Amino acid sequence: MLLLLRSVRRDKSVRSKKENHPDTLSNKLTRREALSTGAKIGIAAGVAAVVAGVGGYFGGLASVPAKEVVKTIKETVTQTVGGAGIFGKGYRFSYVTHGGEENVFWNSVMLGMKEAAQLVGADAVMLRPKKEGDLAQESANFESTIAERPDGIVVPIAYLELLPLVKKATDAGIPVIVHNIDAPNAEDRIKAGGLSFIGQDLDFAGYFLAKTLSKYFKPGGHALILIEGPGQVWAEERAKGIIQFLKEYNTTYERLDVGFDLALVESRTSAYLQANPQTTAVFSVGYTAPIAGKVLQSMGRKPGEVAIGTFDLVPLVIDGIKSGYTTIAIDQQPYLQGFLPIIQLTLMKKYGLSAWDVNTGNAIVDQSNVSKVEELSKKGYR
Amino acid sequence: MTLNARKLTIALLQRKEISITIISLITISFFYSLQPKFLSPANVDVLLKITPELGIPALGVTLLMIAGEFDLSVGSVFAFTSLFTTLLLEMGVNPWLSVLLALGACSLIGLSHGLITVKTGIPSFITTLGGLLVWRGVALVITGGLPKFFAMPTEFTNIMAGKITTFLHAQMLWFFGIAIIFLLILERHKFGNWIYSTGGKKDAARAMGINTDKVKIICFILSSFTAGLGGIIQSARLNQALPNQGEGLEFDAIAAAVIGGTSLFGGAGTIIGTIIGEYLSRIIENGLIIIRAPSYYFRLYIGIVVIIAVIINLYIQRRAIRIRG
Amino acid sequence: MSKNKPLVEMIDIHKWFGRVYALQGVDFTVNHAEVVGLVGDNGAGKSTLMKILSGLYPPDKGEIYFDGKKVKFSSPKDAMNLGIETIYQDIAIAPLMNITRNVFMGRELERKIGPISFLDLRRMERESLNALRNLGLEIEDMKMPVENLSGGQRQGVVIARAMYFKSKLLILDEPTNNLSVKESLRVLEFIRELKNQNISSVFITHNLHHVYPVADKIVVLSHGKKVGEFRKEETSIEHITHLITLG
Repeated sequence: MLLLLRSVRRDKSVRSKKENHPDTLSNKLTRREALSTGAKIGIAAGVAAVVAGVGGYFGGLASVPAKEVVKTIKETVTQTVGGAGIFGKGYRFSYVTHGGEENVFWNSVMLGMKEAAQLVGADAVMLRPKKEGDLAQESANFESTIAERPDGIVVPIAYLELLPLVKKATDAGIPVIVHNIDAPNAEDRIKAGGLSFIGQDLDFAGYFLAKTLSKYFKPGGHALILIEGPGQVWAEERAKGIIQFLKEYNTTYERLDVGFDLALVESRTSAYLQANPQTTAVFSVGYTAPIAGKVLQSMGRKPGEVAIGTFDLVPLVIDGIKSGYTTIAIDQQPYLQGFLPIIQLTLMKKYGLSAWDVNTGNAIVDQSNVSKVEELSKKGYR
Repeated sequence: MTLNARKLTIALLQRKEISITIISLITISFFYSLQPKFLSPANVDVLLKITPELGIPALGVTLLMIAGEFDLSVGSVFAFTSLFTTLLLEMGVNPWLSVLLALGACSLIGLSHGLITVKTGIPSFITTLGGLLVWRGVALVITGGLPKFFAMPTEFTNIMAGKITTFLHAQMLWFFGIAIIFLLILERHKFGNWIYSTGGKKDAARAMGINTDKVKIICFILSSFTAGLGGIIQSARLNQALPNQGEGLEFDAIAAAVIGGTSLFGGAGTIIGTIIGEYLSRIIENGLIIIRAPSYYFRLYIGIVVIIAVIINLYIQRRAIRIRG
Repeated sequence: MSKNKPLVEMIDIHKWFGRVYALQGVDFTVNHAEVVGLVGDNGAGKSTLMKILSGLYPPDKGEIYFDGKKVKFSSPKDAMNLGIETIYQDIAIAPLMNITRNVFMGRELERKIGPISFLDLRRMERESLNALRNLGLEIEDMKMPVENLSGGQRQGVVIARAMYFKSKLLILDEPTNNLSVKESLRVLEFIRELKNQNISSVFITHNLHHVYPVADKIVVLSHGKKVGEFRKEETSIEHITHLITLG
């Protein structure tokens, strides 16, 4: 029952998101497409009616879930059939990720994916595990989608165990583009068949964050690095870059393993900062360093006393920068990581062009530009 | 209806699995009609490969639920057992021995859940909710939250999760092997009768001289053991022991059992029902990917299937009574 | 087994539950092939006395003799081994299990296949069918869950079970509770049948009208004390009703 309620609620949020981006192109559907769409909906509705009918007939109680079935399947199908650009019409692309359904960062990637798909008229879905970073489910999703043979797969290499699946897809003739997280050694990804990498150069981004933040704290101090995904490639790569700069800058550091659970981050960070008041800078490899700002505020410290640098423009980070406690954030522009793979794959399919690496960036956000960025971030574009 | 046909109908309707089989067939035809690749050899192979590691814990959970208790800790024990194995490996213990010790440790976990539940009278829902937090916590402490390489010899990985031929993987043999043993226990051994009586009516079972505490404790041990074995198989398959593996498994396992006709109140349920229930969950998960539906829909569908399966079970039972007259 | 001695003798039984003095020195006797009606208002101590006799509670003070020998029960299993079978108020069966499995609950018949003992389902089914027939209960399908049976039929299953396992004493706790008149009569038939087969029984009830027709002896408890013990021919319903209400 609980499961059901949660799903329904989530379903609603999906729906309202769709309403923000109405499917204005659908009236341009050709007749054939309209027919096949109609047929698909027909079959779906038919089966739904049978399932619902069986339930209703048997229990009478089933009328509510039955209605949900019909609604859901119709939506599934309309969403699946997608909008109707012409350039990449008929292509089907699958995104496979470790970013759980609750991870806000991946919602921006998904928005980029959806809008690119609408633009070229392709169909794209993003397969996300129920739990953040669930490798077993991610690899099961990956294998399932390979079996379905889409025209292209887009995947971040959060775990090295995904590389054999990249190879399996490539061997099956499906082009694979890696986004968001590259293999620590790009050679491995290329050998497995990953055609290009679209995302941040993570190691460099860590270095860049630390170097940029160094304007706000003196050498010879002490830094705290929050690790949201200990052992995961993206987290370790960024941490490596940060640590490399700190060594050059003659700053001592300590790693603190945290997750994305903000309450946990707060309790650990608070304990650490109480015990180590000499800390001059706080970094996070994910987006949770602003929590350190809140902790410092409650400890009575002033904004700017401790420099805080973080990644990714989630609401938490934007609020942190506006409050003055979070100094800078590096934006890796997730929208692009969702948008560009479809453009590349479509060009590859259509004109045989090759894929190309894109560094989606090291855009710095601080108090000077935060309000402008905030507007775009609210809409999911930054 | 001739007498034989009538008897057959009654016999069929008496099997609780019949409703879940019907739902499965409808679901399969639904996905197949939308996307024929759903039944392609490649996809069927994927389904067969990923189901056992999650299905094995569901078997143990089924026994325990029939005995009238819950185990919310299986997801955590699932992760703990793998991580404990890697800990022993790092200490230089022989790989085979490490696995045996880890499975022994997870059986002890089951024993502790069982003892606490029956001796103190705390509901197992609470005991194992504690277990869910404790063993996940221990797993995180063991690893410092880091994924570990599951460094087992190739022979071991092959025995646990190797591919034998197309459509036949070692983990399936484990799944069906344990399923057959549990099936024999439940349907053909006196211990099965004790499990059903303990869950069906504890006071009656005790009055008839059955040591219901012992029955429950053994079921707790089996539940933890199967959870641990599932974790070992998953880690062998992925070469990784992850601190977050098996999160949410407890509800998946209970859902599979309930879809398959196991009563939440104990005293009823079958192994075959749970197997079909588990496959149905995985079929829905996989089918939604194949028809390219957003992954959000999985929970919605599973929720609906749980409700429909329970309603149909009730209906068929009433129907069976009516036919018999 | 000597015919002169009573089957069961309970002497000076006391039982405390915390501050509640539930049994205050009760003597209780059952003879061979005798139907004893144990009556009294709610809370009189009837069920407690019988739970002591069936081994569920130990007495705080007092002695129990069975077939002339002093006995001490540490679990219901001990009492069952002697042939004391109890049928509780809420019926000692699991409703979702089928008839056969209920009849043999805890005392399954087994058959060795190799080194392992498996249930001998076929024999269990045949034996339970026979046991029900002996009682005059015709049920065709032994695989039917007990919850599909009527209340009287359920009591029949339990009584058949006691007969099958050759009990010497059957304790029936409110067996006619919640039953229709017709079903109650049926249960009384079963009890007469028990007597014919030389099995004694204790019939606990607060409804005197149910026990009166079948009982040989009636024992009245009130507030943890025995207030009367009569052969049926020595008394009348009015007399006993008076005793129960006044104590």
